[in-house]
Amino acid sequence: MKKSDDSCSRVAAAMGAKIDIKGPPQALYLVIGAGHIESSIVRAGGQVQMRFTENKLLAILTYDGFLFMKKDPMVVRIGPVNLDMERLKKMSHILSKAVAPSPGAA
Amino acid sequence: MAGVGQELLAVPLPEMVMKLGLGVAEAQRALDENSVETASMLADTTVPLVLAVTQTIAADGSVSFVNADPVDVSLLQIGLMPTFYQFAEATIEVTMDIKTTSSRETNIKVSAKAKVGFGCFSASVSVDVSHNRKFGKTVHGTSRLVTRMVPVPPPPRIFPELTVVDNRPSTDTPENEE
Repeated sequence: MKKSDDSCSRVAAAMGAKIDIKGPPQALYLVIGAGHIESSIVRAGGQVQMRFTENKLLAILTYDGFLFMKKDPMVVRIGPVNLDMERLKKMSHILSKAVAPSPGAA
Repeated sequence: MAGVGQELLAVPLPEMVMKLGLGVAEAQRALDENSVETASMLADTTVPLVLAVTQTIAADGSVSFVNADPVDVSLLQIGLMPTFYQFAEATIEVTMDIKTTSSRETNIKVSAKAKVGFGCFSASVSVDVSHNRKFGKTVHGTSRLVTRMVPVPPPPRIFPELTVVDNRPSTDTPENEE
């Protein structure tokens, strides 16, 4: 996998500038691919956390891994996400009350 | 010759600050657009969730479980949020290394000529002095731009508030939740 230093633009290279990007050590990303992309994530040093469909999943990647994935032609879209536990709890609380089956319904 | 102070004044600092500001603004817009697109993907992706399981213990002690019907909810609804970043700091560092040299060179050329002939003698001495003063200047400059980004909470209105109005007839106290 390439380092982030190699992500310098052509303009930066022409100016002799060095661009160094330090991102968060690891973060959660939503990845949407054109097809099966799990192998790309593994190649980028990432881990699949949740698979929604074959080409849509949540993965943990380093920042270098994220930059690597952005250049992958199989990746349609990739963006950082985070889980808001407060909203999850609130949603779960509201919906569970609305859809809970009555006892003895089985 | 321009002095060191003049060289420092020649540094286009206002232009650098302006370009850095414009660059930060452009990068911020690109970051926001990326986060909004991610939010759109999260809203479009739904997953079936079983939000309730009812455990029933019968009179004979047997236990049964009933899952509620799965509900399709978007990833955004269950609290998966796009990460928004914001530029928190931008720094410009300009370092200049100016070296000036001055040297004075003096060349003296002396030539003498004498001639002896029949009954005559002639001699001449010529001195040619030239002064040459040389100036040299070497300027090395480096600039460093540092920006720092921090994650910030998403806009408060990005999440659609869910309101449940339960109109089922019940003998118990009707419960409307928000």
